[in-house]
Amino acid sequence: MKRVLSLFTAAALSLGFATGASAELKVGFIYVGPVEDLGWTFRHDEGRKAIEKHFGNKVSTTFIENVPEGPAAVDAITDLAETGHDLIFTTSFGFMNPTNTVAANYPKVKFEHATGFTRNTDNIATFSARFYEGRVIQGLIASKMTKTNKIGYIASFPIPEVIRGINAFTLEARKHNPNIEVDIRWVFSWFDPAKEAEAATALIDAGADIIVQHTDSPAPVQVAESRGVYAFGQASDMSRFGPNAHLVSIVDNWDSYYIDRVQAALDGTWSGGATADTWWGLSKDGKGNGIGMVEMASYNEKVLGSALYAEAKALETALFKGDRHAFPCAGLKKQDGSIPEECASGAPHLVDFPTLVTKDWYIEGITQSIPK
Amino acid sequence: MIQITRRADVTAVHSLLSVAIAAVLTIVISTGVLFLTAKAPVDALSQLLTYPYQGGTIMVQWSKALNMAAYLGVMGLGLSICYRANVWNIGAEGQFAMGGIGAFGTWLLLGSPTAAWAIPCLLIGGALAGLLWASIPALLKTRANTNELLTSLMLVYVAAQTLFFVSNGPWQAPVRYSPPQTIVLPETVQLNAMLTGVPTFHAGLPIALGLFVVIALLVLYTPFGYRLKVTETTPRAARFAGYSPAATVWAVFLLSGALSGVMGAIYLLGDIGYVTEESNFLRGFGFSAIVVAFLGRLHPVGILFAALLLGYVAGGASWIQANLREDDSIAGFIEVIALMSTLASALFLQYRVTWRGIIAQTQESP
Amino acid sequence: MEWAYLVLTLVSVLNFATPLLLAATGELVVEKSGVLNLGVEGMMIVGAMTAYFVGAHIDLEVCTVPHFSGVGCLVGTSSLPFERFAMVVLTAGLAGVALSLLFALLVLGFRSNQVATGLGLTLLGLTLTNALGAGSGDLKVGRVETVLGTTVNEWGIWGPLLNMNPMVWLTIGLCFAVGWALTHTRLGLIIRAIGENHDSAHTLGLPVVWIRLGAISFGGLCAGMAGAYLSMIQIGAPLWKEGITAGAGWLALALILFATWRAERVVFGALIFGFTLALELRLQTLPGLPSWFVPWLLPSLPYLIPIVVLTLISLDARAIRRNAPASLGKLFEPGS
Repeated sequence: MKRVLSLFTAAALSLGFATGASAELKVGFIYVGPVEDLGWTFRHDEGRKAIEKHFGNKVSTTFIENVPEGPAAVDAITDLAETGHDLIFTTSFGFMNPTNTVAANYPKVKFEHATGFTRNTDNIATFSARFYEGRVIQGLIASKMTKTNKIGYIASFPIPEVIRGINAFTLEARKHNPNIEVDIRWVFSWFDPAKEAEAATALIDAGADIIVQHTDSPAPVQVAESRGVYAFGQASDMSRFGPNAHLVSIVDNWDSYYIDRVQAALDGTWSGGATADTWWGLSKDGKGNGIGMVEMASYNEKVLGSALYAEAKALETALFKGDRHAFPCAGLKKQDGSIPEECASGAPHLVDFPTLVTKDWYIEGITQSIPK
Repeated sequence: MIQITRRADVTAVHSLLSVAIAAVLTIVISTGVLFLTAKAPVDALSQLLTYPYQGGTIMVQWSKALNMAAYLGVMGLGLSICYRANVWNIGAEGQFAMGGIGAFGTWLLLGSPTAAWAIPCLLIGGALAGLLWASIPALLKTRANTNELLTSLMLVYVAAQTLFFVSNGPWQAPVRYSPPQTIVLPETVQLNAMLTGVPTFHAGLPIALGLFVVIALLVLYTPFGYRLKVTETTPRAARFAGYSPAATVWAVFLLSGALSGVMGAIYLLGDIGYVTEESNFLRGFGFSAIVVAFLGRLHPVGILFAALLLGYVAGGASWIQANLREDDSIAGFIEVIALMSTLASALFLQYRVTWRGIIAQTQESP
Repeated sequence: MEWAYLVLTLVSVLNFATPLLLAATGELVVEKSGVLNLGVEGMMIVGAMTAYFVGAHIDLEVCTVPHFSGVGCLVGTSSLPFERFAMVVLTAGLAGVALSLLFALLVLGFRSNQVATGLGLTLLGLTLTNALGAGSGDLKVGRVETVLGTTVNEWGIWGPLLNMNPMVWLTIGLCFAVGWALTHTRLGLIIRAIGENHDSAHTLGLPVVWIRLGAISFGGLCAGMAGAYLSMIQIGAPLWKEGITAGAGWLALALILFATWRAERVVFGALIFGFTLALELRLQTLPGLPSWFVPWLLPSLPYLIPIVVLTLISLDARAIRRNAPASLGKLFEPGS
């Protein structure tokens, strides 16, 4: 009986401490996949670790992984708000409505939503990366490395973010090699290794000798390695999954944005609302200042050869400094042959905001149509 | 030597005793599992039990628990009626999904109304869709003598695929989302939250409670309930009494299908507001409802407690995950442990278990 | 259509079919003995996780490349020899057996409801792997070696098929062997007799409970090994993630319905199921198909076909009696 009693007192004591956390700021993360996906969620978790490392005891962090993008997300985000988290990062597009719902209920909590565009209240900010800058470099490399002129593209969902990646890639690839055909297969999932592997297999079987993926698992790179074709890594450095197949990875780097925002929250300078949307590319401002959210990692020099490697690096530098844009207007046409509105009115390239955020048309040269 | 014989008379004492055995087993094993898996077991246990009083808003936590309990309770009660009649409907998850699809389809058929009169129509539409989906295994069972357990289960996956198809195909919203979804129903045809800031505490809860009470009364105090009881305990007597087995199959399937369907409609109108693909729409309520039916020993009162228990534990598990970074799998463990304990302890309810050797010894001792 | 493409499609079909077939072979024996175990999905996923984690520890010394940015080391370069892979598969099978014994204890010992217990077993498997399966990102698991290795190109278009993991052929062989054993051996006869009518089998002095215990364990073994295929072989490299089975266990159950409890039809059905799964991404870009065909009908077929087949079979009372075990799922109460 005494032991039971002492257990209860211990429990009662611990209650007191549970709420009186010592950290100045509690930061919570909602992940769509498992931390072990080695892609998208993995990189966000690296960002979380960067916060812990940078701020030490001043900040405490926690995360909830594998959260479905529906009402379950409302519950999970509410839990973080209820447990006294001051700043909550929701790291998938599908958390957009849940984040806005919860934010309306907790005006004192700050919310950061990745890749979304709705900010209904002043306590939400959104952020995303100009991933398509990386797709340009992949397009160049693919155009020079393919022998069959068939590129397999594994796409997740037909949303603007994915479509602009396909467009940026195809535009650059066909600039260097007009015979290139991009074969797009939709897996309707961000993280489903079995389906991604099957998509890669189906594409290779249909003659593709380079695999591009806009999904999060390393499975396509692994398939490419065992089938002896080339592949690009997505979200994190995937070179170790295919030492011979891997050409270069587009790596998401959230570390410096996360640290900035946590610092702002600590300083009291954090702000959200209608205009609080941050987009970083290879560089922070698109003009060569600061390390951005997109990083090209582990160029496979041995396979690329020194000439192509140098060309790719030069393109990366041009994009980093803003000398090159992913969507120059010269010769740019929509799939139906029409000229995009901004280009028609004389702009040098497509405007990143707001057109790219909602753009859902293919460029000329893609033969398939966007699934209805 | 262990000897097991069926009890001729199952009394309330036996019933309480077996529930007590199951409860003790569940508490002991679950606590053990928590202490083995948790990083800070004492904190985790205490917060798992008291979480509604730990957060900023007590009602937020209670409403989450009650919300889940409502789904599990009503659907579990519907399934228990099937099981009492020896009809194995394990497709509640699919009937729930079709309920959501049916309600949304009804809204489209009515011409996308924005007035509140649409709400009862949508609920009825959901109930009808669930009922129709459940009528497939009922038809096959009565007409072709097809095993209803397997057909109802297979239809869950067809329903899940239908969710993906409608939200990614004909009903997809003009602005594309990932995951694909339909447009959100207007706020005026949603079941409003009854308390500001507590989204899951909505008007669907009183509806669910009302349904539960009506069905429970039906089971406990009407000729239909008596018929179920006869069918459950002595199937042969049911036949002698002139109860048509086919009519029973139809009745229980349609009733449980409609209940699952209406809960799917409430979920659409109260919790989610749109139809989306299965991994984000479905939350496994239809399968947990089977667990609830068995935890409650197919009795309405037992089912009520079982649903509340699972709802409360699920809320607690997600709370300790958010607050203490503990794994929320403890909710699943408790569900499994409670189920297995209840199933195992049923042996002592329905059978007389004796160990001859021990009896002999006790008789010898003074 | 080229021959090479057809062979490659066949490889995909077999790749999808193998885990379904293996799990279904085990469950076939369980159901033939009159027991319905709905825990296949649970046993499979526990097998999948066990295989991955055992594979990680059995293979440690081949990992030579230093850590890279905090995770693992080169997964692609190391390889897992067949004899070690066999141990991995066997361990996964034993994990399946362990879970199936819990089912047997409740169903045979405590006479619990088979449906509820089976569903509970699936829930247990999913919960267990959810709790224990975290942290796999830091593990190093080698690729299982292939039959042909680098000589695969010397075999022309048949190379990819011949290069498949031997588990594929062994599984097909096992299924036929089980079918033969069920119809031609004394043990098979006993199993079927018990599944047909456990009361008369008991009266004849057959050990109903013991035979069923054996059948249930065999089902666990097969389901666990099928899980190992999912996590070690299916995508061509080892991979573990929560929920990796994604309904494969239920497909295995559907497969038995489709086959109306006959082993040779299980093999045939597995190929059909594998075909519909492989077709989805292959037909996606084919123009002219109705919009509901690939996204709705194709993935639903593995669940719709068994319903139709089962209904047709059930209409003919003799046919269903010939194949379906009459005592399936019923409670066995030996009189005392």
